[in-house]
Amino acid sequence: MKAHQALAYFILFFLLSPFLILIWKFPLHPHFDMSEFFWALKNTFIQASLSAAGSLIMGTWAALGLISMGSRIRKILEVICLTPNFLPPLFTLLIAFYWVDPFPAGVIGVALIHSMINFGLVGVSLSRSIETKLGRMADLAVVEGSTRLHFLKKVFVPTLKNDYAELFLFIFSVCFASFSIPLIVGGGKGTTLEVLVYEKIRLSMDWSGAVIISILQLAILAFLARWFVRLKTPAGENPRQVRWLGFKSGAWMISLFAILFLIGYLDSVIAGAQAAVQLLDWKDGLLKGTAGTLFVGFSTGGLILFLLMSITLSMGFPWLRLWLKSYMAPSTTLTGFAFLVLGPNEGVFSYFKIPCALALLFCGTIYRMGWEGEVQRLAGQMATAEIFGATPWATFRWVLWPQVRMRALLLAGLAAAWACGDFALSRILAYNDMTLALMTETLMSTYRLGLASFLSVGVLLSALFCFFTFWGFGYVDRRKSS
Amino acid sequence: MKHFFLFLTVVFVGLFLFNLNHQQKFTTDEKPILRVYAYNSFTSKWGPGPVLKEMFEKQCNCRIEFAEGSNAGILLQKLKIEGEGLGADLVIGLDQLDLPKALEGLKWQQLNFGKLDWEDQIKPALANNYFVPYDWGALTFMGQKDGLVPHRLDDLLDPAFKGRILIEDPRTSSPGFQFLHWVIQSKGEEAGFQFLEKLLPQANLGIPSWSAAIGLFNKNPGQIVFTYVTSPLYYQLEEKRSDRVAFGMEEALPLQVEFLAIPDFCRRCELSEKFVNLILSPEGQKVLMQKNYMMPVLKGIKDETPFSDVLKNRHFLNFEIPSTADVDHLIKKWGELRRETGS
Repeated sequence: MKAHQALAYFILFFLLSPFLILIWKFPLHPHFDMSEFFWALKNTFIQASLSAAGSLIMGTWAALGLISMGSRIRKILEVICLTPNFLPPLFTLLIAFYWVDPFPAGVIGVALIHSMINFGLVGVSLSRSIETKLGRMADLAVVEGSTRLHFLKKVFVPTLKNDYAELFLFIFSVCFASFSIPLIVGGGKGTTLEVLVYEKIRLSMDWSGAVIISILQLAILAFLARWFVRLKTPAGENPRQVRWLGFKSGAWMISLFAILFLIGYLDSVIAGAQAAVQLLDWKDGLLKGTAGTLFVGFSTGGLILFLLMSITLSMGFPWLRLWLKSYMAPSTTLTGFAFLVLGPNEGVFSYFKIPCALALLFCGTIYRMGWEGEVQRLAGQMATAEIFGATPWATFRWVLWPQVRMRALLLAGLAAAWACGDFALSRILAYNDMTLALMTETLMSTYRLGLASFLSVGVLLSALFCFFTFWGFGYVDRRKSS
Repeated sequence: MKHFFLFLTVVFVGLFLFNLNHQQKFTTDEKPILRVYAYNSFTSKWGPGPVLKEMFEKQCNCRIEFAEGSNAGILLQKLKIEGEGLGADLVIGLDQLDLPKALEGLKWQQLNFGKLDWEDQIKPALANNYFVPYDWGALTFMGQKDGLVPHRLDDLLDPAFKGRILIEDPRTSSPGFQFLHWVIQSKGEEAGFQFLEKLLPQANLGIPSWSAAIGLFNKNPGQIVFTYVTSPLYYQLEEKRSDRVAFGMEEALPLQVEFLAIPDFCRRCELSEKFVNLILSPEGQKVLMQKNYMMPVLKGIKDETPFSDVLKNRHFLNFEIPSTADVDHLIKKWGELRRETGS
């Protein structure tokens, strides 16, 4: 078996491993409550559709705001837009609760939080599409004296409809598989498939039911992805400024969002800071927690980097590309228990299992966040290198790495930052509060919400440190080689 | 590129060795290890676990190692999956709803502590051979002294409470199921579910855990939250604020009793029993009361402490262990109700 082929099978096996492990350990049985499944499926569809629609509406406004700004302010606004995607969802959740009172539990609440998290990503992505696909036509429209409204109606919507469909499906898939937000905000009325899997395990220890739901969920997403594959999004050109088309109100909206986000977060942190002296007695634990957080962050980022490179090296197999396009990670709880069942759990084993499980959970989303495009872009070059007899290592070192390092390290940094904030999966696999996020969760379960908010600053700083380490290395490496 | 991978390797190995060293600090001694499975608020720095551990390690020439779970359900799952292989010696933190599940697929050692001077409310909880109660609490609604005050369950349907009631999800949280059980016991099954149907649009009845509910309440104390009658004591003693109060209700309040048990596959069974003895000693009970904010199971411990007044003028439902069938039946009906009324 060639190295490429072995890598391709390894990726397939790794991503399917939670299902395989659980089916091996807990055989499936035929008793399955279909009415409950369809109810949760309906909720999931409504929730994911509303979330995607909300993100797209807000995202369009944000995109029009971004293109109306000069490059320096725009960069700042883009960072603001992407911040909620970068932070663990718990942060956004607490901030939303701070401002929206009473918070609407159920599908509406879930969609609201998802929209808050994803609108910025949509905005940044759309603004790029506008500049690369509408730039020339916008110039022409200005010369011809077209009105902005007329342009939006006759050119904007028809040209970008496939971009919208792609973004809708991306956000829909992410929200379809979201766990912690529907669990906390669902309010019992909006149980989704992911929450149902959790309930099956937590309440009735029904492993078979949990695995069947997860497999069906995967199949639904795969079906949707087939549709996604058929969409033909036209390629863009070099970006051109289209400030004429922008709405300054979009930029104001992003600024207001940033202010509300900051106040909501800082208020809890300041309240917690008053009691922070109590944390001094916990120095040893904090040190261990910080080291554990960084270890989990760096290991997860490193594993994601390895997976992205492996995917790229195995891109010659169309079935793998198709599979990755349709793949969405299994439920967090399911993945956690699958890794728990697998092998020993004593001592340092949890330090290995947690990053592996997190990398598995993040891989699908990270792949969709731009890696797919890289893979397609490099396919021709990789094929040529293979024809000329280049070894996989030479292809990686001299063809692949120089071209993808920036994006690969950026995505690895993002995964590392997410890993720093995880407590849902870590709680299943860890034996004690080995990361700051776990400590934060423990503080919350002993009434100490203020201290938990204060400690979340440590989580945030660790996440930023991991992210900038990965990103910074990509930057330095590029400068050294140029 | 090589610098980056070198850096990553150095950081990885460095952090790994740090964590390994941190663990080995405790494992290099040759003392026997007592492995205790407990929920994380028990084992956390502010929980009773570390104090009890210190007290016990002083006298046992052994070392206690805690294995955590976020709640009893997850703890039981972990125990079933790896308990025997890893050698779980003691399990702390099961409540009466977990006991039937704990008996399915797991064997436990018989324990007999009947001769202790138990609180009257706890005596019915001793009618089993395996699980020993170590603390207990009653549940009710907590809110602001000068805020909205419910006097009976029906008051929760008042429009003034709309959007201001925080209750844990019965499917994922023990206090949440206690609420469901309380409503059914107080009103009967049919009337109980009719009441819940009316309550669903009024209240947030789907909060996944007690800690999430308390977190939401702390963010907005204008609401009322279903919690322990001892919860206001935490604010009074730790945060020096007396504006929070656990409301007395006309209906008898539900009880939650927490149990410990020794799995049949324990490796340090004798040490486990000694640790149980410590937990059930006056000193151990005091630690549990002060750190867990729960009531002691033995008489005389809470006297002349702020805990002595908490239960005055309140009446409680009789303790009972619902069967798995009862729990499944109520949860199923609850699920159907949500589906019918939910969005």
